[in-house]
Amino acid sequence: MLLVALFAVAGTARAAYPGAAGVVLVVDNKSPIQSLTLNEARQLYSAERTRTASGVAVLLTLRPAGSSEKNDCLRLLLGMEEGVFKRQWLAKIYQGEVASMPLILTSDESVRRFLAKTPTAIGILRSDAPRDNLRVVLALTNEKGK
Amino acid sequence: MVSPATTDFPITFHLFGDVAAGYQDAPRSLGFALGQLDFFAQAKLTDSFRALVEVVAEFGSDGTTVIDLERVQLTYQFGDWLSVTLGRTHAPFGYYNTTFHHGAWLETQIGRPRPVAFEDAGGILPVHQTGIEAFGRINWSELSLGYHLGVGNGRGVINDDVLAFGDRDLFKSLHALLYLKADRPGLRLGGDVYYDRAPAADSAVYPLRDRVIEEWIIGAHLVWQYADFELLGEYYHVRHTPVGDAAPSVTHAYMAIASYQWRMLRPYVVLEGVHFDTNVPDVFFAPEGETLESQLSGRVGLKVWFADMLCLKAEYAHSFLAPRSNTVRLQVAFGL
Repeated sequence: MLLVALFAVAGTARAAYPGAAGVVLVVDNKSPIQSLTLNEARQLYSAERTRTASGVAVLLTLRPAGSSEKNDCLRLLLGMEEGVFKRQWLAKIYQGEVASMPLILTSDESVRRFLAKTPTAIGILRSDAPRDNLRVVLALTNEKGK
Repeated sequence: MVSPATTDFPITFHLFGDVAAGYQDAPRSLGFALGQLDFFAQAKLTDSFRALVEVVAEFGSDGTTVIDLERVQLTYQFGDWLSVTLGRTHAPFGYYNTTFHHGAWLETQIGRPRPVAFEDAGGILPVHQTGIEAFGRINWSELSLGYHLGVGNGRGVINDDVLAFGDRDLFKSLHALLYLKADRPGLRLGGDVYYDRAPAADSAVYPLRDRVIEEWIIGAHLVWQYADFELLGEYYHVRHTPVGDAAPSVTHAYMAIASYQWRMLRPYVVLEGVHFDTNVPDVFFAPEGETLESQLSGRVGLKVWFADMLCLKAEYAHSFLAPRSNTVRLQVAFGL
């Protein structure tokens, strides 16, 4: 009976992803980060590395929990849901490999403003969002992320 | 608006705790127990310097509360390829000891596997270390090579003599870990070597420990994380040789944990064993001549994530060697 109940609850836990075109990882135009490979981005957002291949120490940002930007980024880049991502990062923090979770930026405007004053930061926007003064370092589409 | 929190006050706090209940048939027992309460803080002091502190409150069977300063670390990061840590750390044995350690919320099963048990719980490895450690990782596309090199106080005169506030001899322990990790298919293979010389004890207290003991620990580990499946295996060979003509005593320990994440459920199986030398008594693990009992046990269990930071575990364990026993345990664990 307990197992049946657990499996029923588990069945409701599947994340629903919007079928959007994708997201882009962006930096400010003045950033020393020119581009990222898919592997680099995966390793950065998995806390497996803290610097780009060219040696730039990166400040990662994310969008708020439940946002389509965050859901799509985690799904296309890492193939995981937010809960698994949070647990994986907390484990990395506990191991002392990284100091803290990625910074949460709540809107497109906050991404632009934060990246403008932090050249080594990486932000996330929907691929159709305005990108004035920003440079795309990696585009994550449904095709590329699979 | 830009969130100011992590840039203006760059410190993170976490708290881990658990409560458990269990029944064992031999010797028969039934009860509830509070687990460890783990206070963890880490701060980025500069772009390259960070500090980490971990304090654990434990509740003894006599009702007392013990506060243990588990980790105090200062780390300077030169890059992903090199960081240097000074202080008290989790010794980099294999994969399990640094990945999980305290915090039941992090662990798949209930309680640490026998090969990596804490020193004060009869563990065979010096899982805490005070000293200096260099570690890093070199990434090539989907492949990375990681390492840890450490020098520390090492062992005291007995197993539970963890030397956090000085050493009892001039010799320092030496530890090296090397691993290779492939992002696809999510495979990590590694091995480590540890060497130390445990000082002789006061013969009036421990008559069998009248000589310095040379200690070699050789370990190997494998971790395979493929999609939602995880397999973790570790093996340790611990050799203690009293300096002189005495024969060495060898202990073998191994563990394997397989689990599968299906939505909020994580079923798992565990096999764990420690086999002490039956020909040559190990006077480091048994300095008073007590009998060391080898252990081999298996567990099956289910971990249920009720929320990101809250889980329930239910587990059945069977001990295959005498004294045989069956245990059923439940644990609720959280991480904040």
